[in-house]
Amino acid sequence: MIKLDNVGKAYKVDNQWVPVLKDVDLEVKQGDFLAIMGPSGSGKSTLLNLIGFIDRNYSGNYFLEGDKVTLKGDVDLSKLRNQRVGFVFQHFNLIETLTIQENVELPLLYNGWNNRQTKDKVTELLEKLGIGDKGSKYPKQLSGGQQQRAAIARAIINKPDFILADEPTGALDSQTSADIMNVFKRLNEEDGVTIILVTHDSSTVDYCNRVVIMQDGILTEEAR
Amino acid sequence: MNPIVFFKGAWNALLKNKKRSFLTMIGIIIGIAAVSTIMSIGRGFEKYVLESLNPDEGELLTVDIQFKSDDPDWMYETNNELFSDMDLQTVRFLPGVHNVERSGINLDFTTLETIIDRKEKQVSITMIEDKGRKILVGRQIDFMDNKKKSRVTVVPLTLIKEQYSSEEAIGKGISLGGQLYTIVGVYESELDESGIFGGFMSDEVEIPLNSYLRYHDQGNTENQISITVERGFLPSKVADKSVLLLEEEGSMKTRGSYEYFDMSALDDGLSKVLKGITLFIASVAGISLFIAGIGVMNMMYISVSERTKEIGIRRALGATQKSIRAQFVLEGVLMTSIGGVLGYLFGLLFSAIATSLLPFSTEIDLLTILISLGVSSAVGLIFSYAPANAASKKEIIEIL
Ligand SMILES: Nc1ncnc2c1ncn2[C@@H]1O[C@H](COP(=O)(O)OP(=O)(O)O)[C@@H](O)[C@H]1O
Ligand SMILES: [Mg+2]
Repeated sequence: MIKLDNVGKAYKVDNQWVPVLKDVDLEVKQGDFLAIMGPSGSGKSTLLNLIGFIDRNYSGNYFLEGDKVTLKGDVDLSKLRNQRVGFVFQHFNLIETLTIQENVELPLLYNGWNNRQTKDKVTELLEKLGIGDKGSKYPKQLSGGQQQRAAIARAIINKPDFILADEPTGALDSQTSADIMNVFKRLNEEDGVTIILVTHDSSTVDYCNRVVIMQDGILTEEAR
Repeated sequence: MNPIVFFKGAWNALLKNKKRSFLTMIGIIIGIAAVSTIMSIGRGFEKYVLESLNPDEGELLTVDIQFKSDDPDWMYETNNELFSDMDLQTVRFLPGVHNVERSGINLDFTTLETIIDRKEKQVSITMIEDKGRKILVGRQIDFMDNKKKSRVTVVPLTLIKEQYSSEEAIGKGISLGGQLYTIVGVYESELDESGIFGGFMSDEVEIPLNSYLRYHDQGNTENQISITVERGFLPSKVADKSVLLLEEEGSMKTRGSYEYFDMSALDDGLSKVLKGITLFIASVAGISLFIAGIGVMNMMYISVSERTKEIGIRRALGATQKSIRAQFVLEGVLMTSIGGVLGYLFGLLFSAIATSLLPFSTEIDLLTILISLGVSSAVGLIFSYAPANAASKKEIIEIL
């Protein structure tokens, strides 16, 4: 489904180009539950943003189902972000001024739905994720675990092909982490959603069926 | 994204910042209140003039439009029509025009200068096309004189009797409007017995019409049209529009200019005072709208920088640059048009107070509403575009 071919990226710091990704080759198949591990600052988030069509400035090629993403413009990339991918971040990234309901329905709205159509769908999904009663609350009124569930709801409401989760349990205690990981596991097993997970918590790796290691911008597959 | 969804989002964003939005709105409210006040008063005044000028019955009013050439010599010589049929057609289809026809200069009351006994004097001229009046001595003016444009004249006895007897006068020269005419006949003027005219009108000097047109008239073709104005329209406005149109499309637009004389007494005291007030309020409105616009811009820039995170999240969820821009522009426009509505309501109040001191009243009218809304949303659009555009250009990767 996803194929990175010789992808590289560098940041310019003090007039010097500092490489962050070096010749990254990666193939992700439908149904994979892939963990990207590695020390902090090694380029994991950079890679994830690139896969999620957020970053456009890189060398090499990115194919999505054989389609060259590298050449696409803003409108096409926005559409891909909206329909093909769901993001889950370490710090949830819910919009503080909107209720949970309003946060979760955003991807639907950007996909052309109107407010009335989204209501039932959002409520149903929140229920499924165990926060059915929190729809009218604001993010600040929820615990970390509940916020992350809301963020997951937002990530999957458009039925994306894959989920990109950047240290989704990094800000949660171990019990809540386990709950969240179980949510991902269920999505992967029951709904066949492809998941790419950045983590440096080795206990979360147990949920995955593939692990790659990022080290100083170099990606290596770990044999299992 | 669905337009209603957009709208709702913008509305909610404004509500989240009620106080700030309202403060920013104040300038717009003042500006639009001023605009709608002058407009209401102006419209009320116009209606008042119209009603006193153009009552429901009686004859329709007319207004004349004249063509003035830049080059008078050309006017003498040309045989071109100064108002073509096309011109008449164009004007005819303007709103408020009932009828249009050509009309020459008024030849009924024309005077020329003459010198009798070394004294300058104005005499009334009668134009003869066919046959002049009965005479005492000499001969009458006839159509041949007219055809040949000969400079011959028949004068009243009263004019020459100081110098000549009537018989002596025949064949003598007389200066009329700087041209030398030969006296061919003398008539005895009937005494103006009533005395009403004080002996002025009766001393008419006859000359052939074509001689007059050849030697004295500025234009030898009709240089004027007369527009009959439909009821309910202001003659001055119709004339203004016609002049503008002719200046754009008139057949002689390259040769000179069109003008009209406003007879409708709009230039009286009341209208002068109103014009002064209008100018004053208009400048207040202009300045406050401009400052309000800067306020809107300032607020939008602050809002954009406060909501950088939100922009990044929205972009990650599928918002295009265009929809981010539209979101912020809509917030600006929504805010200023709410200000516009409030301003219009205040304007209604002010103009009601103002006109309680004036001899006419104002009422709710669509044009004022449309202009209030139009101007206020235009201010929002213009001044929130730059901040909105800046918001849309942010790189997502830098934000998240
Ligand atoms: N905007 C930026 N400008 C310059 N350097 C950056 C920028 N973003 C990230 N980096 C650098 O890129 C490297 C990789 O960052 P990141 O992908 O966030 O690492 P990880 O997620 O693995 O901790 C780090 O050294 C970081 O300092
Ligand atoms: Mg990171």
